Amino acid sequence: MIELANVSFRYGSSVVPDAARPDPANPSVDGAAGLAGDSPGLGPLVLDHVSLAVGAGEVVVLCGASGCGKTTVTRLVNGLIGTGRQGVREGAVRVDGLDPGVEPTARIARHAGSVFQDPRTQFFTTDVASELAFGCENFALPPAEIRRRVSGVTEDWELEGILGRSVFALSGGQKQRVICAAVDAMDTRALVLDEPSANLDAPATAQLADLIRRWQEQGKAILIAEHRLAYLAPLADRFIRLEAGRVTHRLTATRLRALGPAKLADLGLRPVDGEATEPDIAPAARLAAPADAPGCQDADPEDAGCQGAGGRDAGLGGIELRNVSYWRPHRAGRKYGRQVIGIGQLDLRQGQIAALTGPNGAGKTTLLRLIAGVAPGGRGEMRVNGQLWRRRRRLLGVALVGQDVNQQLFADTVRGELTLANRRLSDLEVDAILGSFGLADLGSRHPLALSAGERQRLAIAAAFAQDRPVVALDEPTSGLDLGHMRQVAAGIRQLGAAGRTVLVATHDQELVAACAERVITLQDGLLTS
Amino acid sequence: MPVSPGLAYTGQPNLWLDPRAKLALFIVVNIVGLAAPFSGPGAVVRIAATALVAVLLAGEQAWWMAASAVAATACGMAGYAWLQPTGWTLVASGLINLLARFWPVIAMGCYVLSTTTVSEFIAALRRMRVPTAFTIPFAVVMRFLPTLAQESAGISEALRSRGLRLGVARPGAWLEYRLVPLAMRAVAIGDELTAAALTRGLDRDTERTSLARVGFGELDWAVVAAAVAVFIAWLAARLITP
Amino acid sequence: MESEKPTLDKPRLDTRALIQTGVFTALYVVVLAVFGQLGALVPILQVLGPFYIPLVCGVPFMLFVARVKAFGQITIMGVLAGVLVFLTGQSWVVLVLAVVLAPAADLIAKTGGYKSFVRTAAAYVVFSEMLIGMVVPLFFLREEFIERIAARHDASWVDSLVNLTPPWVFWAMIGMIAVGAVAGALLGRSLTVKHFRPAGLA
Repeated sequence: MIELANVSFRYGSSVVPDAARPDPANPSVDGAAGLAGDSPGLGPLVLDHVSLAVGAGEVVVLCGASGCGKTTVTRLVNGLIGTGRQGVREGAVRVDGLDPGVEPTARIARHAGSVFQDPRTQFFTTDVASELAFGCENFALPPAEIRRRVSGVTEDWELEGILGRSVFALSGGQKQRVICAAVDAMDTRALVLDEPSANLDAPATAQLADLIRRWQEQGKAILIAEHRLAYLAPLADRFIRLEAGRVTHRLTATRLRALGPAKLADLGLRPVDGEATEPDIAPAARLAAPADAPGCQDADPEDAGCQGAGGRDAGLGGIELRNVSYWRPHRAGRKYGRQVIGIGQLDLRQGQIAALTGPNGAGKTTLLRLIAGVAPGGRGEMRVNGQLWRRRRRLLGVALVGQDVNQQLFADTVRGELTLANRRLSDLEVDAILGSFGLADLGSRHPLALSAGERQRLAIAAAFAQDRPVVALDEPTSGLDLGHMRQVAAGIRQLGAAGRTVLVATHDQELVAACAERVITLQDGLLTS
Repeated sequence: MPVSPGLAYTGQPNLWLDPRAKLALFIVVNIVGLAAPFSGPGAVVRIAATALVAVLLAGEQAWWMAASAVAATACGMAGYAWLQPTGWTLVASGLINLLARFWPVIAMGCYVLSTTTVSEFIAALRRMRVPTAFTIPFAVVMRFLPTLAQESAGISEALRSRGLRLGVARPGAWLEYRLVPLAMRAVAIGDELTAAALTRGLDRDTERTSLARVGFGELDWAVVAAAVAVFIAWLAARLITP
Repeated sequence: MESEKPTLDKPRLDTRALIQTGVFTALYVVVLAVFGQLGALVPILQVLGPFYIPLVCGVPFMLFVARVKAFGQITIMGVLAGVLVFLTGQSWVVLVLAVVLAPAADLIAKTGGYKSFVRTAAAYVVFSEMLIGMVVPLFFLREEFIERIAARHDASWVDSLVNLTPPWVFWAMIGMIAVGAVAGALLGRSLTVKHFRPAGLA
């Protein structure tokens, strides 16, 4: 139902979308037969003779590093880019027999439904019921039929409780579920999903897997571009790995699994087996990992003596939280404010990297915002190096790297971002920081022209440059591929090695394995481990 | 149903009205609320307009909003009658005057926004033969205002955490660190919204159906008639007041 | 396998262009509202308003024009902005001016292919003159304006304002808007060069 035959593609020079911007680390290979001559006004070759087919009831997963061309394939299929529109395509693309490069996108929409990465930006209306009906209304279906479909998907996707809600009041997982239901209501024969799990926690991802299975059973053709492979392994018929726009591997789930974790990592792919169990990195290795970083080579990081040996502040060190609680403020329509955080005691050593995990809505973000002093209204006390830090002091002493780094980069160059974070930095120090965060060649680029992984690292580098004893990071690896995730993990280990106490909220188990010395689990605002 | 002051649609209203009827009443309340005097025959018109707003709000059990609209109007009239605009009372009377004029209009705005979905607005505008070239951008504006508020809050939080203080004294910094990032986020989110809308079949050239309920019933005609009556009364009051 | 020639899109007011127009209209209106409110808080800014409001709004406008594809987008933005400004309690004159001036601005920018800075700046000057609609009543529809302004200020303030507004001030304000719009176009261009273009947005 979805077919690509020998497809090559170049973007027009000015229209390379963010997601498809090639990673400078793996530049695309030029030199395909038809598009070889670099036509003026065209970008590099992003797809090079890609062929694939997805039949009814099949799930095909596109994987590979960021910038490998996955997103471009999905956009060629759902008609967002096509011939003569934003680039030049060679070869044939067919969806239900139609060419998405020629047909209007709205026509293709009747045959291929699409789900994207960020649940916040996919809503066109502002309330759940209208959102479910939106696609069917655009197809000009009779109102009776739309009502039938909306009530059908409401039941199937268990949305009765939130049908009348504003979409702005939903959690990320709920939003993605509503989007899936809205696409489901359109009842298309093919589905194209572009990193649908990027912003979801483990339970929501499991739910997504169930939904994909349901579509599969209904006989739909499903094409998914994704970094996280574990949840797809039980359902996918084929995995297709792309590198620099070329297909390098076509594997069944069994054969992909047979490659083993080491080979997968070589290919830049995330683990196929349950994300939570990482056979590669045993707890002992986890603890040893930060010791590789400079400043703490000789000592076991668990040994308090390391702090002195590493030239760190020889004071009491670390963070102590006592009786920290937070009640969500009273809202219209709700009778009581809800307790979001209730922590009796939490101590972190200086230089310790602690992962904060737990399902969406457990209060991870709220806790980080309280610690960073940006959220008002918390109770309890926090001591750093034995000193009581009130909110104002925390605002100055805790560096926060929030969930959306795009909101946190302000300068016009990468270097400028660091000097903006700390005006006292010398040029040499800036170079050193850029080098250690793998940004050395990007100093003069605009922060928002970087890839998602580079942007995330820049935000962490800026937090490093701020020279604050505590660093709080919120979901620093959502939507990143294995390579970028590892670079972010290395950046976080740098922070710990420099004696910063690091608290990182994440649902990325691979990140936890790669950098955390300690795991703190939060459930309904309470510590469970 | 609670009437929330934001742009959030909070559920089915108790008393359903056609968006066009609500819009007609909003325009009249806007004109009368801002312009009508607090004394003489014009004040009667003001009372009538406030009463209409209060009744609609009370119908949605938004007791506090309904009562405050009435109270604001009462305060405005009392202030006009008893406070002399001299000395410190000048400031007080000015403030009361301001609040009394704007509050009923704001209350009406809350009523319209929290009882009407964007889909209903669009369906109503299409019934009024407004071309898609205007209805699509209008829907996007309504969708985007809360988004811009959320993004702006995120940016200012990041600024505070980074220790970048933007006072009135540094307008350049405000532009570069508040407005530019907001504009960039708007563009990026806009592109993603476009992709989502196109792949869900939005097309300006195809006529779409709508589940949203539109259509005038007796109640709607009654509301429009009341709005027109208030407007005519306001014109009449202006003519007879010297 | 057939090769597709790279073709540029015919400039068309398609669905993409309409959504983009909505995004920038929201941005423009928010900036306008925030800075319009400043004038209500700090009286001296009320006098400077005709200068600094078009100055700041130049940033979203210039970024918008850098991404405009087809004739009609500036018109739609102007008309929708006019409607929204009217609905927040401003004079109807703004709406009337928006309906007249926005298409004119659109035409001027179109003659430069939405690329020429001079034409775009000229278009922005014309576009911004719709803001004069907020003060037109002060000079020509005094009765309506006094009622409106009295909503926010007391009687003596109104008296002094009326005395302070001989007709030449009106023309001075038109001039201030023009100067502010030119400055806003320059500011918008410099930020486009400094931020939007390197970030790949314009």
